[in-house]
Amino acid sequence: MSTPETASSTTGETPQPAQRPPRRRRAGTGLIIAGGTLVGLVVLMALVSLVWTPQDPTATGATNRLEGPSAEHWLGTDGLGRDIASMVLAGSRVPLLVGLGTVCVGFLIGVPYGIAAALTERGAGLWMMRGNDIAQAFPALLLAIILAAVFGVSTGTAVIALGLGLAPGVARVVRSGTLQVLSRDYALAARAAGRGSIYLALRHVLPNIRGIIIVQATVGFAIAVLAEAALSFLGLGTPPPTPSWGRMLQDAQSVLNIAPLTVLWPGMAVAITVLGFNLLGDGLRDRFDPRMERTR
Amino acid sequence: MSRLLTAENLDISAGSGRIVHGIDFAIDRGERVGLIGESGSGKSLTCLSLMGLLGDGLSATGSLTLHGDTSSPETASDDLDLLNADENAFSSVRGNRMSMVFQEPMTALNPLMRVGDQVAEVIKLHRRAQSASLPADQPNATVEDRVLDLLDSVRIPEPARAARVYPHQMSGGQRQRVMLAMAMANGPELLLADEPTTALDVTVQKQVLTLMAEQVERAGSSLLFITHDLGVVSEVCDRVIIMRHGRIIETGPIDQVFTRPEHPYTRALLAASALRTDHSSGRLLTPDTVDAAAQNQHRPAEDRLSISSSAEAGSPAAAAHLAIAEDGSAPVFNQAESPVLEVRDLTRSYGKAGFLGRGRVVEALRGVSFDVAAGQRFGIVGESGCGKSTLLRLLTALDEPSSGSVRVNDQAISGQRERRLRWLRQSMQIVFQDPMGSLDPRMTVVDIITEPLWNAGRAERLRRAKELLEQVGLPQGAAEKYPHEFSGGQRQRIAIARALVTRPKILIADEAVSALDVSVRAQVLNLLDDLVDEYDLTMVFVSHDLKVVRHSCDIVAVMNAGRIVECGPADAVFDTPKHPYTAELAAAIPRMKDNVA
Repeated sequence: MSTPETASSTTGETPQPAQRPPRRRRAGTGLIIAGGTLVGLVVLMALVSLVWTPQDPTATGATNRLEGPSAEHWLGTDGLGRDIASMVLAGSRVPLLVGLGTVCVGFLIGVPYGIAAALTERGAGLWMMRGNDIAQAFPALLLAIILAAVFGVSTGTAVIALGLGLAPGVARVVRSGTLQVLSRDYALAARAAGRGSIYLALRHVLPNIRGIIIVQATVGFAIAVLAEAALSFLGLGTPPPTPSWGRMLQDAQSVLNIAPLTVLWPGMAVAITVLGFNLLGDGLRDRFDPRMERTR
Repeated sequence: MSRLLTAENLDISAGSGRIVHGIDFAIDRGERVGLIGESGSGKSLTCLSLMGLLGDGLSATGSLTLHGDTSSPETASDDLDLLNADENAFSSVRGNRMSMVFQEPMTALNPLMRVGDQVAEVIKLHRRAQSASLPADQPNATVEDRVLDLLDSVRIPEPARAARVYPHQMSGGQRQRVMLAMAMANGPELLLADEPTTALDVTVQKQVLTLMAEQVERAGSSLLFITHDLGVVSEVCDRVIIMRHGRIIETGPIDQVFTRPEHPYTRALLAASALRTDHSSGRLLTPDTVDAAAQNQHRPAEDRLSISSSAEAGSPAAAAHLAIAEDGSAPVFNQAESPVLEVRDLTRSYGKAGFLGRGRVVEALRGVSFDVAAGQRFGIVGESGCGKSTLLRLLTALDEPSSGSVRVNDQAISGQRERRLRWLRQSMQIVFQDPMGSLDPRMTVVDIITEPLWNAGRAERLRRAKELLEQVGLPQGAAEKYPHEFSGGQRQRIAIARALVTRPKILIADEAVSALDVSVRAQVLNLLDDLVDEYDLTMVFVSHDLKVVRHSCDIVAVMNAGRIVECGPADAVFDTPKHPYTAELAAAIPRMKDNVA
């Protein structure tokens, strides 16, 4: 808070901007570049797969099952003779969509809930958070399995289940950020100026917690990608024949002894995506989240 | 007297930017030097460079030498080059030959360690290295005895008990005494004190200052006292160094510098600190006007007030001067015919009594009644925890009282729904203390200023914002900028502009100038004065600073422990206090050695 600034000169306060010490390299830059590159790579894969894949990712072939890498099949074929390279490429679409959907659902619920809990009178707000605790205690994967059992297996059910699972964590973080903003004098000044809660939330709270929100979104994305792979692995995620990394892993599991490489490729894809989002999240946190600010 | 410390051509820079520009100074043994400067003058960095505690990215060049004691042959060659000393050399010096007291007593002690253990740690750390040089009079003293001795010497009551408590169980003043005890534990040759009393209340500040002077004297140490407060320096130092923008502007014995300042900046600083006013206009002297006024005779602020308040037409100069009765019953202070603000028997307590008497009830306000008449400038003074912030939140209907009532223009405002307080939000506005926290960093100045105008169009807002920017003395170009582009004083001007945008009838100023440098403080007070006249405001001015309240207000109420103990015309209250607490408070203000005294 106390940035060194020029004391006003003898001739009064000339309106020159406060002088700052020369800027260091901003926190988290390396992490953001590394994470951004990995995430960019995955997004690029998804975009390319929309217009072109080496082979048709869904075409099976009884004659060329479990082949090794070749010019025709770059990464070989799986137990049904499908081209693994094409499947890995096309399989990136679903995790990204699920990640995006999950973050949207989670934040559309979590952010307003968190802000509302912080803004409401003490008692009611605390009860809202107790409800939130109960929701948070409920495993998202279990919720996904129940929803899949009731409404059938689909990408949509997975998104909603994972989003609902993400929301309580978001609400908790957003509430603490909101309380911080509300404790500042400018929030008090707005109230003393007769401004209502909705104005406060939109004009003061949201802009000042956007850093926290971005960080949470990135981390939520990574969790969602991993959870989607897990659901697909269990057969509760995206139904066949749409290619998906999680189901590729499950298929590969049955031929693990004969063709171990078939596990490697989708596994690596999931790992790289999650790693990318986590690195990006850590980098953004270093830059935006004041609580993580290092005192150097 | 032999030399203790010499700094020659000391430069401190952050990357390519220089912050301290080649300063030279020296401190003799047993000398007490005050280093004075406003924020950004480089005084704290100078101090940290002495201790080798400059942060990463900051580097010091030049020469900085701690001289050995020439009075004894063993130590005569103990010269230490402080800029090139390694961490080992520093470790044996810090807390031993040099020690430091920091500003913030709340964070300077380890919260998870008993106070006695923290003091003992400092002793043990250096005793190993210098076991030969134990105090001669008590060669067999154990560390525990020494700790109790030290705590006793800084006048902590019941040292044996105090040694066993944790820092949070002590008050701020007590913690600062413990810091002092730790700093003095090994009889340092140089004690560095960086704004050690700024965070303390005036009455506590006085005790700590006296104690510090006494301790330094007894140990024969030198003192480098860093502060922005000229009054405080007068209490403890022999010689002052005035710094500005990383340069030493003026240095000399305190009497000489304070009575015959040579540099214009020193003159401006002195005038601003004493809240000296221009005799003809009655306005506070600011750095711009101080030289023009130098030809005229300087008059202290009090003179101006007594003249103007009796001259002002219709000013209720005859307000009763009342104090709380012996039996504790409180009258209605400053009673008026048709008050703008009417407060009756206001109480506010926090916490619940709880089951079986567990839980704690804190009574922040205990029956406060007063009136404020239209056009009055009503000051409320008190130390931290006296309930003035609570009172303020109730006056502005941002909190509900436990009992009692607040009426504004004869309408009750406590216990009303927010919807019914629309009129109040337009007619009563607040200026907060911290100009950093009271402006949203993500909003432009236009949006900040016009926030209270909730049903004006975009063009109307912009017009009004520009009008106000001009009135508070900021350029129109400021409108589209963000708060971080402004200095503290400019930010406070923006906050004042926001408070006036609705053309309110009542302005509440909560420590509105406490966070500002003295030279800026005078400018902002002048501005407030002008605007109060221009907008015909009734002002409630809350502050811990008695000088400021005396200057700015007609009527002053003194608060202590949740009640108003005394209230009356400003001069009467401070010159002839009726309540012992007011007298104590008035006596505790650090006095500046001054040519008008």
